Amino acid sequence: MPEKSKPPLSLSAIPGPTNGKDSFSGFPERYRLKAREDEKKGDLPKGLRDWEIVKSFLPTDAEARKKIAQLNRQIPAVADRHFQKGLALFQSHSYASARKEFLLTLYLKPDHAEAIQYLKQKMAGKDPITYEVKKGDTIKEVARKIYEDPQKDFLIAYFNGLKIDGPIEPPMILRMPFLDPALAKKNSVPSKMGADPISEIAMVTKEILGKARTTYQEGNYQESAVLTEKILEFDPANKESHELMNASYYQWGKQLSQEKKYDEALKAFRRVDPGYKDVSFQLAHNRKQLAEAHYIKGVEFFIEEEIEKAIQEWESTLALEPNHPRAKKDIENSRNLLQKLEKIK
Amino acid sequence: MNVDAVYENFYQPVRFTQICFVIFLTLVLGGCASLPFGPQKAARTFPDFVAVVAREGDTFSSLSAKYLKDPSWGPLLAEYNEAESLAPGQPVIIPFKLDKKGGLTLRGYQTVPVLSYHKLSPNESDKMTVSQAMFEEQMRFLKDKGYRVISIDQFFDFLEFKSTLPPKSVVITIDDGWRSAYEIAFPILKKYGYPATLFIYTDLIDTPKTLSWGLLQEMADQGIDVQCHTRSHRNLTLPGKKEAFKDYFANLEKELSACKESIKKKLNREVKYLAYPYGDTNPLVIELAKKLGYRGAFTVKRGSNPFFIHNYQVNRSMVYGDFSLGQFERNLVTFQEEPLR
Repeated sequence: MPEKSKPPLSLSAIPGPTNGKDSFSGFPERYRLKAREDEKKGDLPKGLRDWEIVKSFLPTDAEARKKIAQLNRQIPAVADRHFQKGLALFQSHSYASARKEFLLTLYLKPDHAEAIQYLKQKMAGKDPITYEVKKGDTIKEVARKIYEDPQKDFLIAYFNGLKIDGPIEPPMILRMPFLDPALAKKNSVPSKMGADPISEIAMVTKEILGKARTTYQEGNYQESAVLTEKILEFDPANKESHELMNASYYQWGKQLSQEKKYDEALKAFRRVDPGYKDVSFQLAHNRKQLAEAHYIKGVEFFIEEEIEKAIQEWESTLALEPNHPRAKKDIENSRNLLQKLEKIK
Repeated sequence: MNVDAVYENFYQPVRFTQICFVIFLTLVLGGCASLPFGPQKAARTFPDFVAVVAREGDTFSSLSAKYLKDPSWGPLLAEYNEAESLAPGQPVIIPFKLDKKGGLTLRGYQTVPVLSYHKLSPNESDKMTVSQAMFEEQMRFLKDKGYRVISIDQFFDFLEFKSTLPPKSVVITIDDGWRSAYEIAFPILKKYGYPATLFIYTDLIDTPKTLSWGLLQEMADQGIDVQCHTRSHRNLTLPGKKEAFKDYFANLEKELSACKESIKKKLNREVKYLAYPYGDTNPLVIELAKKLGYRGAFTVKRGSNPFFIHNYQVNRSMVYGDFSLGQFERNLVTFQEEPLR
């Protein structure tokens, strides 16, 4: 939701500029009162800011100068107290309270690098494993100690820019990633932010796949094919979806073939993986049927004396069945006929 | 933030007749030490701020536009002055550097939503496909409601507690590399002047339904950032059944480095950010991304981001094609109330 800003202090209670020749004559007093109020509330950075405004208007104002010097000493000290409190809470696993203290530290002292590090790295439990090399260690030995698998020595070498068989000496510090939750639990601060939820894409995929399965079971193969294709667009490695897509296009192709819609059936069968069931046979069968349908259509055009259209149909026949027993001969005869007709004209 | 201040004083317009009258009074009342009225300054400039007395029609946004050269700092200016609106005569302080890193206050902290789109379509919409009309409506909504669309670099400066963002900042990302990013999203983004980031998986580029390197170059030349979504879109957290651990790791390394190198080679642009396929990651992938020089990486965990989110687990909210405008708005959380006292 958009931020709703509610002023914690009503500035209308503080005097504005007085009517007179200087529009700004009321500013110093206004910000002096505000500074005192902010300090009283414990908002030291705001108090400091207000005193600096007063000092800008009245450079020799003694109270402003004194307060600025005092706050410049006080703010870092208070920030550090909050940080120390945060550390203690962090160490006692009170992470929510620790976070609040670290945030307060940064509010007071925005350049507090350690507070940032705790908030961003340590609170998330994402620090890599660190290992201090001991005398006599080899990379293989460290891999055995950390990963319980000396074969993972290549990981340590990779992440530390070392040669796999190179020497390691104390006091070298090695850094390496966690590999599985069990190991992470054993060696690290557990995650403070709770377990990550299942990926939302995985959830959406599951939902669409469920819908695709239902439509497939209901015999609506076209719909299940479309749904599985959608999943594969953003999840190309989804095997379940791939299998269901094959099954859907295959069944849909058979349905279309039974309805003598050979052209559409061929398009459906072409979406199926070549090795799936008898799809090669189905492709050949439907191609033959479609070729024959074009041939018959050509004959119909020929009878209606639409010779050019007849030729087009027979060419389609040949494109599908290059060895069609009659199409080639009929095209030749028709072209001859067209030439003769042209001469007569 | 552009804080090139206008160091000038503004005077109320004074009519010629009034000047004559003043001269007349001065001459007549020659002994008087000072005038009871005179030209009123509307602004007074100091090294770090300008003090302003609001005039009729002034708003925090208009003052922000005038003195900070950017109206989107208006809400932050209002907060600085602890007021929601301005009345004539009201005193206002306009600091030249509105420094509020992380948007951190005693009431809570700023959060930045990162929107994630995948495919767009001229008419149709479904869960993963947003229609053109809906996309246009959402972009207009951002403008009308005063959101500020920022670049991914600006966003990471905020995450690293280096800079202050306008309060209602939003990031737009589009995943995969479908052609609709060019045909549908790009013209609309240009119309509103919004920056956006494409996370492409490079195996998908240069196919009939997808973007070509030529189109990506055209988009990149006009302010669209192109970043990495791996090479093949494999789930980085799942080794294959027959994949030995060593091969899994070598393949992970290729997924992250080949994508980076291809974009650099084809578009001559630095790749700094990664979007995990399916939003999935693990500590090994995170360390690998760091090692390969990525500055940060994105999941698809729904939610806005405070500055202290882990740089390699940034949340993104997927925008579904069946979202109403209300559902869209619910993903635009830009402040988290959390009183620090």
